Amino acid sequence: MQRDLRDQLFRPELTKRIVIYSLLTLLLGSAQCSFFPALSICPATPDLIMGMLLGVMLIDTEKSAAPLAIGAGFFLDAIGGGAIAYLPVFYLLYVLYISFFTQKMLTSFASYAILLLPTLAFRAVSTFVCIALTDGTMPTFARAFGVIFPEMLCTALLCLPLYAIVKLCTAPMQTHGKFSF
Amino acid sequence: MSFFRSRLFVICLVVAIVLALIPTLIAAFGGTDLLRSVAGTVAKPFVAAGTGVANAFNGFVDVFANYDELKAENESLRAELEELREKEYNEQLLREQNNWLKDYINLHNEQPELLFTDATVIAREAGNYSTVLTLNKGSAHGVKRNMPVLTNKGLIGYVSEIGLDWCRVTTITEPSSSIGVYTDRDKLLGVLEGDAELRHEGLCRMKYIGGEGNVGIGDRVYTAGGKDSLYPSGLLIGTVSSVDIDEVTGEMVATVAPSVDFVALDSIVNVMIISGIESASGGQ
Repeated sequence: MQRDLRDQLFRPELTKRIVIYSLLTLLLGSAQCSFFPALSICPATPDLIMGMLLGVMLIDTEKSAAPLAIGAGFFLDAIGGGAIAYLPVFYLLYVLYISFFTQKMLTSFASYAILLLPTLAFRAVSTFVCIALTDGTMPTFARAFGVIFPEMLCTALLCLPLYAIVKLCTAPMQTHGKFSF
Repeated sequence: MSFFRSRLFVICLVVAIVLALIPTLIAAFGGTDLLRSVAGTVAKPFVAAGTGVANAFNGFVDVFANYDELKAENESLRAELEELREKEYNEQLLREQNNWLKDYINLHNEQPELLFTDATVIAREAGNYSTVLTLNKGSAHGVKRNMPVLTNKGLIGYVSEIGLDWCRVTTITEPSSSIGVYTDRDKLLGVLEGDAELRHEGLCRMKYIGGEGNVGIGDRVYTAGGKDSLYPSGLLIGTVSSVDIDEVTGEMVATVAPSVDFVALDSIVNVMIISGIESASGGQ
């Protein structure tokens, strides 16, 4: 039994996944925490990790997406998080939430684009809650137009190319995605 | 969906909660989580590179995004520069005027009996060898024909033509000019004349040198004055630059370099006209 577990843990396929997803998280997380917040033409910081997780959910499986969500959340907390480290739980909940949609979808860019809508809704709700908890004085209109809509727009625009990146990164792996066009 | 009911998902959830709670608690107690610290260190080069690239991109975009603003700022700075240049030019003019007035006072102190009228050169003879100047003072200002004209450096010439509010000055280098002079060292008298050949070099010739002694290079030459002379005595003209013997007459002839640079006549802007001589009793 121990041997089976060891074989399962150290199998090349798993190592490949860990390395590729770690690099992807490192690059996208760094971009999300440093490049986009500093970019003057970008009105809000896009949530690239959500886009990546959505891609992994579609192309790979939730078994890959769930640990990746925890790792990515922890990494984001480490490099750009606040006093409360909630992102591992947040992204895991997102994976759980989006899995209700992905199981009925095909592995394609169209599916990815469609599933960005519930993703954006999830992001918007979470941002709204965060603002309400941290700055209750901000009026609802200001929340919507000043923070949430720009964030949704940026996330939608910048997450679209992520599908191709995730697809490219997962190409060397034996993914267990659903029907692929 | 079965994954979310599996034991692996429960483990994932527990790990996520632990990874969220532990750093939060450690931070709350003022400590630093080792795992977060390692993650931060690993990500640091990427984060720094991301910020650097974003800043470079911002700089590039700003050139286009703020084009109108930069253009307006550029125009405003140009206007400011123009204003400063004009201010500097005016200050330069004031400095020159101040120097001129100082020279005027010095000259007046040296020769208190001379009465001066200041004038400005408004035109020069059209031509490359200009030795005739037009001044902005005329008969309306009390200027008369044959009045001597000088600068703080030395004698220029005399008023040869007069108008209502202008006059023309013929310089001492003109061939028509003839002045009784003396040298300061041996007090040798002579006549300083303009010379058609030397005129272009801004030089004059001293002839008819009489008396005992020699004219030497470097001797200063002054106006001799006299009853029939246009010029009062003691006005500096220049220095002897060379001494020769006239081949025809066998007399000594000296070449005099005037103190005023007649080659660079454009540099003369302000001059003084000797409008009268005050006698000891106070009359003119």
